[in-house]
Amino acid sequence: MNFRQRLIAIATFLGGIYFFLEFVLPEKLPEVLGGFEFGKYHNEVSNGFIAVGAVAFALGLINLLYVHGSKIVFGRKGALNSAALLLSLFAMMYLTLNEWITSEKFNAAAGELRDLAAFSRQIKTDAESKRLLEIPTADRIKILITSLDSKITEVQVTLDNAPKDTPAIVSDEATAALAATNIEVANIKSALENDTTFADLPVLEKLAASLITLASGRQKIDALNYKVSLGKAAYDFVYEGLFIPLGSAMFALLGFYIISAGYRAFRVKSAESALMMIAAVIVMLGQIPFYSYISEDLPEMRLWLLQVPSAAAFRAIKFGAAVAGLYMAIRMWFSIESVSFGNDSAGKTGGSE
Amino acid sequence: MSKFSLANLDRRIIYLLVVLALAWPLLNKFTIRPARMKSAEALYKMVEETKPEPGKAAFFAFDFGPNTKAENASQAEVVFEHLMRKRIPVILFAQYVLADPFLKSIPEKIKAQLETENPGEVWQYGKDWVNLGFRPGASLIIQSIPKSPNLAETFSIDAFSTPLVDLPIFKTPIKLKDISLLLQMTGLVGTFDSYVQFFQTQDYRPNFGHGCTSITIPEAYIYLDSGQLQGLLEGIAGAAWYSKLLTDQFPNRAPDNALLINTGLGIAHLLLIALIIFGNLTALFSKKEAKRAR
Amino acid sequence: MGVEHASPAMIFIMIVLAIPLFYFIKRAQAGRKFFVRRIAGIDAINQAIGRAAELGRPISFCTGLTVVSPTLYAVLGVLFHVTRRSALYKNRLIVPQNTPEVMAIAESVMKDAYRIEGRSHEFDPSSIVFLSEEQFAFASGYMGMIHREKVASAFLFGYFAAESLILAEAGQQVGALQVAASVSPEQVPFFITACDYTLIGEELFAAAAYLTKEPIQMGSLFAQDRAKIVIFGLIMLGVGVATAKTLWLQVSWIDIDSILRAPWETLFSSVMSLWGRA
Repeated sequence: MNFRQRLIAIATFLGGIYFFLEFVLPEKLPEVLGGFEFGKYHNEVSNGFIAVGAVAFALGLINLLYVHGSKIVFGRKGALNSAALLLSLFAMMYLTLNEWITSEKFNAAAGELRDLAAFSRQIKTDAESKRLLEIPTADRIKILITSLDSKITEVQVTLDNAPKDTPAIVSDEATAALAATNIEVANIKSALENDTTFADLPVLEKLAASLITLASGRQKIDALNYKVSLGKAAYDFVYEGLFIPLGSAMFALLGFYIISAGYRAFRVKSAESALMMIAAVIVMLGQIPFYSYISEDLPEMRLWLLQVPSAAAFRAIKFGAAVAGLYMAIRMWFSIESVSFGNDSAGKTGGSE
Repeated sequence: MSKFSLANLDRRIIYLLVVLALAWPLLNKFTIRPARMKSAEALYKMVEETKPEPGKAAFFAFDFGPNTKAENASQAEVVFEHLMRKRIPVILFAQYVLADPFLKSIPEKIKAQLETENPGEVWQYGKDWVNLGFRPGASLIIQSIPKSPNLAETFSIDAFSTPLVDLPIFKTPIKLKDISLLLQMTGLVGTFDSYVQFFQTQDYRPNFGHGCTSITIPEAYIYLDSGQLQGLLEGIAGAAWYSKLLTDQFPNRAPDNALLINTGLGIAHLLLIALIIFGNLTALFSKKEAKRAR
Repeated sequence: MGVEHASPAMIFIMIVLAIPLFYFIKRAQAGRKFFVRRIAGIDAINQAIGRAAELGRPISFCTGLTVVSPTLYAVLGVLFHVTRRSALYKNRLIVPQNTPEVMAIAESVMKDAYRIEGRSHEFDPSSIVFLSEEQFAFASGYMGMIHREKVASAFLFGYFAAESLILAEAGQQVGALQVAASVSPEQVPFFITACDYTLIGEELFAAAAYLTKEPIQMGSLFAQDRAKIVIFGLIMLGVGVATAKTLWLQVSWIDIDSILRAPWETLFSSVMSLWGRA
């Protein structure tokens, strides 16, 4: 085993031993053994693996660019098809990225309003706790109001530019929330002029509530605005107009193939095949609406076939495959699998006939 | 032998027959009473017996995409409608990225339907259902749910980036023990196993209802038989029977696609059986003729 | 009831099942020969490779939707063998891929196979074709590829879902000799209908051992069968106790289920109380 193989084997073992121990040990060891929680950071470790796995998407992209790019560059057979594939790939990437960036923008805009609502609540909580603050409550409220002024103007512009077919419930809710926010802001401003210590804390809670409703309303109107844009239309055309029907069509092919394969291959040539045929016909007839024209007992017979012989056979196959999978997993874990990552001993052991 | 020999019918003729068998009931809006599905009845009973309680919710996973939309979307619609009628708060979730549009479209469709049927009543997002959206991580995410003391902290935001703590469903902390029902509709193989394995704690497992495509029915029966599943929708046939049960209880409800699709499927089944019998008979006669000729 | 952590009984069973693996691998490496019954589908692999060489048409080896898992390693064992044979006969081998990580591993295995046959220079990286991660886009790409290339032999080894029949029919339409192996029992009927040979369940895991006769794989295969006997014994025990409970209600029988599920706390408290008594 060279250095690289040894490193891979160690990394594999350590990764496996963590998950093995996390499963095998109880959630918390008894106090007499230290009370250690082995799986305390399991969520973080799992998220790490998810992140690593996500990077693998680039591998597929690189392969596509290599295989189809070289066809285009060297003018090989199928170059036009490859060009169409790469063009579609980049077009779809652009449209999906645009969709994602736009929805994140809307979420961020609404998020800013929610952050201001949370800030408002925090000011109230800190003031009620009467603890000593670096920045006095009144100054914090002034910062809040200054931030709010620009946001309110933005929201007003969004509401004014809402599409004509915005449902009344959405626009009314947003308009009411904006009005309530403006009232609370005006109340706060006048309270600040009269009382620099600012004693009217409940108004901050009202402001927070109206800001949360405003955030939700703004998000909905932004989404409605985006819906009528060119980017969204293009995305909908490609995704809902092409991708979804194409996927459904491919799945629908199965129906045709099952029937043509059934007609071609289901021949009764022996007692076992006759038995299989009878069972198949009973199961099919037992689940269609027309069973009552043949026999009322068909659903029960179907149920018995599925619950008894079929379940038994499935269980047996699953047990066998599970045990085989378990052994393969142990071999992978201890790196005693011969076909792995440049193992020089692979293929030296006699080979096949 | 001619291309159109009866013993080896051209597959294009078979495809044409299939198109006609499936299209005719859809075009003529012809439906027929579906076959009785006991497993769908068990799921119906399970949902019917669940009472809406404050601080409790149903966890509903839409783990299907456009490919299996015909079966799984129909299943998801009928069960979601039943939950909405019973005012059981629903937490929607998906492990499959292509399920995301359904997490948005199906609740909106059912909401519109129910509000038309029941003027004056309103179903609200955040109060009647929450959409957590697609979450990557497959079984790793499922494993984190039983360990979470509050799902609002584990998932933090919904599909629209709204903090979950701001939504009425999550006003009180919800953990696994507050999930009264687990439901999963999927055409994928493998996702269902992770719910069976991990969506439970030492002393609590919610009632589990599953909706599968026809291909995975035999596998699902293993779990139904062992009691790990309490209800099962067997493809579109299960959805059709569930829809029929809903219509019996709520006669004013709008008709859905499940019955239509199920009728078309029934005709296609009959076509397949006829073709198999036909193929075997013609093969038998061809063999006899060949023997006679020798 | 929860299975987020193993109970002591589960760990004991895991150890009981794992010990034969190491024992029989050691025996196999020491030279003991193990008998493996003839599996027609695996014999057909070499036949299919030979057919492709005679016809001068390519071979396709599809790993389906297999992700990095024990199933993949079983499939790679067969891919290794097929690649070696293809390199030897100078056959073109096409390996369509659904998962990028699997693609990288498959490429590594194929390069090794070519290197061992002394034909590293003949390895063509573009023989591994990434089609799509999306199930039916992959099936569509595979169908197109099979029809364009007119493959003589097609291998469908690994994890397949609903697209299995589409893949198998594509090969059937071009007259390819098809050998399929899937761990998903629900796909087996589709493969049996459309393919010439089908391996069911753990026969996929036996395939690499059967082909290469390599000691680690042979020992593991033998140990698997012994482990199944243990599981069979446990099932019989469970069935026997459950049946006896219903027949003789008045007798208090061992509650095997609660013994198997008893958590660590029960074991610790039993040990501590025994320790205390000692």
